[in-house]
Amino acid sequence: MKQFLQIALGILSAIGGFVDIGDLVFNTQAGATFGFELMWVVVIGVVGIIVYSEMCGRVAAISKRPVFDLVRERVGFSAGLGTLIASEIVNLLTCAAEVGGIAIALQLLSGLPYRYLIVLAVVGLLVLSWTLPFVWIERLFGYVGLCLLVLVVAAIKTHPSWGHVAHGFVPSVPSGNRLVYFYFVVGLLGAALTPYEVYFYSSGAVEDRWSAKDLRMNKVTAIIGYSLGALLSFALMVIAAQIFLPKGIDPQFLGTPALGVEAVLGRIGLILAIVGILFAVGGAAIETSFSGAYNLAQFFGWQWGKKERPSKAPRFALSWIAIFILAALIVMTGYDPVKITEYSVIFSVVALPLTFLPILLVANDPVYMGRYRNSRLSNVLGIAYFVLILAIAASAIPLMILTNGGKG
Amino acid sequence: MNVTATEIDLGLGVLDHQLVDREGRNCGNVDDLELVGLDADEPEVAEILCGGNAWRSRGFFGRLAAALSGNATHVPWSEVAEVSSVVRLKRTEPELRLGRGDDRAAKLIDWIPGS
Amino acid sequence: MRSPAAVHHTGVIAPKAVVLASALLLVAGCGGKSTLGPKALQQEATGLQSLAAEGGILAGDAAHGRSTSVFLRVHAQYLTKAAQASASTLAAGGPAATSLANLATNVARDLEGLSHSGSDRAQQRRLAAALARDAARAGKLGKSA
Repeated sequence: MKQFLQIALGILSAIGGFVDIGDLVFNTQAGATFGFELMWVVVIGVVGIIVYSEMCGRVAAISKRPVFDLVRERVGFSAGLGTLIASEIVNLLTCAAEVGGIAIALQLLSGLPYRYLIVLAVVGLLVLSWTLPFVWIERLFGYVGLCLLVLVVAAIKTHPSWGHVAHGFVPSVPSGNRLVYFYFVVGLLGAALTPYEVYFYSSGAVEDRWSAKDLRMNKVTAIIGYSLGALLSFALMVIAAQIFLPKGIDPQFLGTPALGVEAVLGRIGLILAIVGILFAVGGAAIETSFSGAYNLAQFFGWQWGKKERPSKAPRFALSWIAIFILAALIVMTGYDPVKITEYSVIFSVVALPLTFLPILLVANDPVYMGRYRNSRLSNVLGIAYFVLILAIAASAIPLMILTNGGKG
Repeated sequence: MNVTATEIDLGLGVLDHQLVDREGRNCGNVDDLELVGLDADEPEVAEILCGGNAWRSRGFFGRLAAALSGNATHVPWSEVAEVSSVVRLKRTEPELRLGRGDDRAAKLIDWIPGS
Repeated sequence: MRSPAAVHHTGVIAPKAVVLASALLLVAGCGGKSTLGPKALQQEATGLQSLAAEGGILAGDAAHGRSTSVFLRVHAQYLTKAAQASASTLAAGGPAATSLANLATNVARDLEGLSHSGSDRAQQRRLAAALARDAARAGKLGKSA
């Protein structure tokens, strides 16, 4: 019973924590541009994050080492430091986008000035991260993030043609500009296969001292949690396809997905959507900041861990504090968080091969994994995804430039 | 693999691995190794170099990082208890003068309640 | 009466002044009015259509009491700023951009009115209709750009 409850809680937390600002932006824009045509990409992305999260969790449980710890061992100091620098830049940009997203959500609820809310957002994140244990942070942001299930209700209430929706799960020749189509393929995959999630997940598994007996729970939580979380991505696309596409609306603001919910469900739906966005993006901000701190500490061999008192792992603590503050400073420059999101997702796609290759190598290494090394299925999927990741990494920046950030 | 084995793959089994002290605390990485007796038949590891300018032999980014850092800490190979997925040391971090960065960093946050 | 040195000085300066003035005019010309090409005009038109349509949905929801006053004000302000930015770009876009520039100004004005409309349902209904017309007009201008 206790294990069932633990799994259920983990799944709920995964659903509520699935969506971040990158998913909000790219799924809404994809739906508003191509309708249901890109549904299949979300499926590919979710299966990919399940495959790699399961591998990361298994590596952490068996080798007792988190992913970034192994990057340096596998690719060497110089390449590892290059990976670290790239990861930290992407983490910082993503954190900045999330902090900006929190401030906008707070502004949509309160009407207070945006710049003050950036400060409030960062102070709130610092206080919560400092005072609450991780399990409570996950619960708070994960459970309140479940307000985003209002997206699913709203999507159903737009009464889409379910036949057309189903058709969207089959890859087909794009109806519009092909370059823009592939830009969104890259963006949606990038929004789903976020490196910070993988780093955070594996570090958390080591902190929680996972062992072989936790592997099944790891698999179940990852599969069910991410799959249900993907419903939110589909819902964003359906709402955008039904409400924005017919009117030629190009979603450029964080309030636009909330407007879509309002159009269907009215005031209550609007408030639930904004609150859901606030907590989903807030949880993501904490994950990104800690992921950055984990990477730094693990690369340089510092003592690390949220479970440690800050004075016992001070460089780790200072790292996540510094990331929050730098993120706030970036957003204070006035640069649009939605634009920052677009850049951070595309740049994270470029860095993806450096993230996933060490995971794949270590998950196959008998020295670290013993009899728990990858099964044939894991390897087939892992290698297939790695090839896909290489392809999208190579094409991400050219597509962004050629399509003017998806505008055509 | 433990340190008494006659063959250890220094490249794959030691270099860039985590250093862990007697109390299980992370105290840096094996950033470089000082070898002696290279002219002889059996070269030996004399010291582990950790942090600071130990990175100068580690490629372009290593030289850049070394230029921004102070001196490395030298840990005699005799202080190594075990080489497995990590390199375990016989003594504690302060005894080996490792983790000085944490000592300095701790002063910045010690004053905050709950630290 | 100017001294002979001043006359000589003026004689030397005059060509330099012409060169400098020409350079300044050239720079002013580069940074000033430039014509927007057909593709840029089409993109601006598409952007305006999007802003007006989005404002129209917001106004319609507000008119039926389906929004909150805070969301209405804040989101309409974001739309207004974007429309104002578009209006500025189009104002400097040359003769071909004039109709769109005027439309952009109207859209920005309607959206600003929406952000200040509070609980005035009648005004919100009027603005919903106006913004829907603006969106349709932007669509037509985009096709003819």
